[in-house]
Amino acid sequence: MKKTIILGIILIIAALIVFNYVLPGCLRQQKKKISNLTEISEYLKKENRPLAFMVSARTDSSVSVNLKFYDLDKKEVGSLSKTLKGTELFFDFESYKAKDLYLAFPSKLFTNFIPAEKGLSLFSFYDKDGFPLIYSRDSLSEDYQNTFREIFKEVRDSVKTDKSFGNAVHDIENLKHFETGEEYEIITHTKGGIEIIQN
Amino acid sequence: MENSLELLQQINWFLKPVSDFLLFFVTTLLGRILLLSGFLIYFVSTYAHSLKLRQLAGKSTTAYGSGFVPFGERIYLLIRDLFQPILKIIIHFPVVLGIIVALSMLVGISTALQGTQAYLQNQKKIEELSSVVKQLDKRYKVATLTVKDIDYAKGITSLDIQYYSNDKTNGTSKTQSISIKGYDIYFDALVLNFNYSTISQGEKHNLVLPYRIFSEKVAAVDGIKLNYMDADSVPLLYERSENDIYGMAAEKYPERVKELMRFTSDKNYARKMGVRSFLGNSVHKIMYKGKKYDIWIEQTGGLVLKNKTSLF
Repeated sequence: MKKTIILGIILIIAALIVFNYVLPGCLRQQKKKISNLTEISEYLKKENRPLAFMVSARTDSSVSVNLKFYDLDKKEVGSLSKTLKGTELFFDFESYKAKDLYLAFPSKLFTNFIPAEKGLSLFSFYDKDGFPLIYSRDSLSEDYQNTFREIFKEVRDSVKTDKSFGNAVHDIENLKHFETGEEYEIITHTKGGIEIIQN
Repeated sequence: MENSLELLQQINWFLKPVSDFLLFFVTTLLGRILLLSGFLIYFVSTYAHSLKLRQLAGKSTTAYGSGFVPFGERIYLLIRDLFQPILKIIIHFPVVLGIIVALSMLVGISTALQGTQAYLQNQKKIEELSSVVKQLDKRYKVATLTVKDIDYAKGITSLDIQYYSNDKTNGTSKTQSISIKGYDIYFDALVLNFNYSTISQGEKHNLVLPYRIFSEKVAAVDGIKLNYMDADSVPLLYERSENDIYGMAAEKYPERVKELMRFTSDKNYARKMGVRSFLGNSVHKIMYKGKKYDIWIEQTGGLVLKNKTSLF
């Protein structure tokens, strides 16, 4: 009987310690972990949309396209209209790895009929004093601007680096053409992938 | 874990409202005001009753008495009725203590159950989020490009392309050798990306079908078509051993792959199956002799190209 009472008291004390000290601590750790995982998940799904376009006309051998460049606040920072010989439109990007994420810079526009080296360079359409406007937003620090100027210079000068690779996205003849009059957006991912979605 | 959560919810279904009710009176300002108000109402009604009884007693004992209660007696009745409940509590202290302990235990058990419930729910959320992150963070190797030779005089790059099969049992994959004019080599593929919700649940993988090779000097239309199918016309990336095919007979597998190709042609079907985008994707880089380059499909969408270590 005495042993049962003592055991009961020990169990009650143990339960009090667990539920008043151990459990709240565990709950705090869990909240922290949930917050971290949510942050990582959001980071992985983070996207930029620097470019939108519309095919305005298409023939058997040429395609006309209107392009618009956007900054991080979705403000338009540049545009161009062009007609090119070809039936598949290629939007070429330079994907540059900065720390843990990839930054994508629109580099060329060409088609399946035009070799890439003869494509239209896109850098000048969003370059302002060496700063890539597609990475602009309201209230930029001096450090941010300088960092991006350096990166942009490296990308534009095609500096041989293991940090970057080219990434061109395009439509596919007979399978998936860009439809005339439809708006498309190009999405760049932090992990380096690029894709095109219809608006 | 689901069963444990359900059981806790069932136990706490009764305890929680009672615990909340008790805590309301003890921990909230309104509750304390109500308790105090309740005591005051009890005291006022008891005192009024005592006074009334005293008045009636006065009237009944004195002929033609007014039932007037002297001031001193009123004070006595006031003090008596004020302290009587307190004295009763002191007299019955063990019982009162027992009730307080029992109610405290009830509140304690309910709080402990709520804490345990919260812990289990958080664990479930952590598992779900971990799975989402794991799925989204995945990538699958599509091919390895090995640069065998570069003829700078003729401006021709020769390379081997090793395609990857998901057949883990024999690990074989096909290798194709090509030579092409130019140094900036474009590995072109058809890519099908699914919505994040589909990917994060592990239901689908983004799909890639190697298509052609071209370069900065060779237009895509003149590019080299890539041999990426095996003898049964199954894209190598989807090759499986019999042991790895679940939920269907092994001979049905190629049919299933062909069904996937339907995504490319049927827009409504693609949307229904959670396809976010279908497009051509060429990753490219200026190549150097002896270097190896891996091409991956990211579960967050699109292709990436990464260097391997040089042979030289």
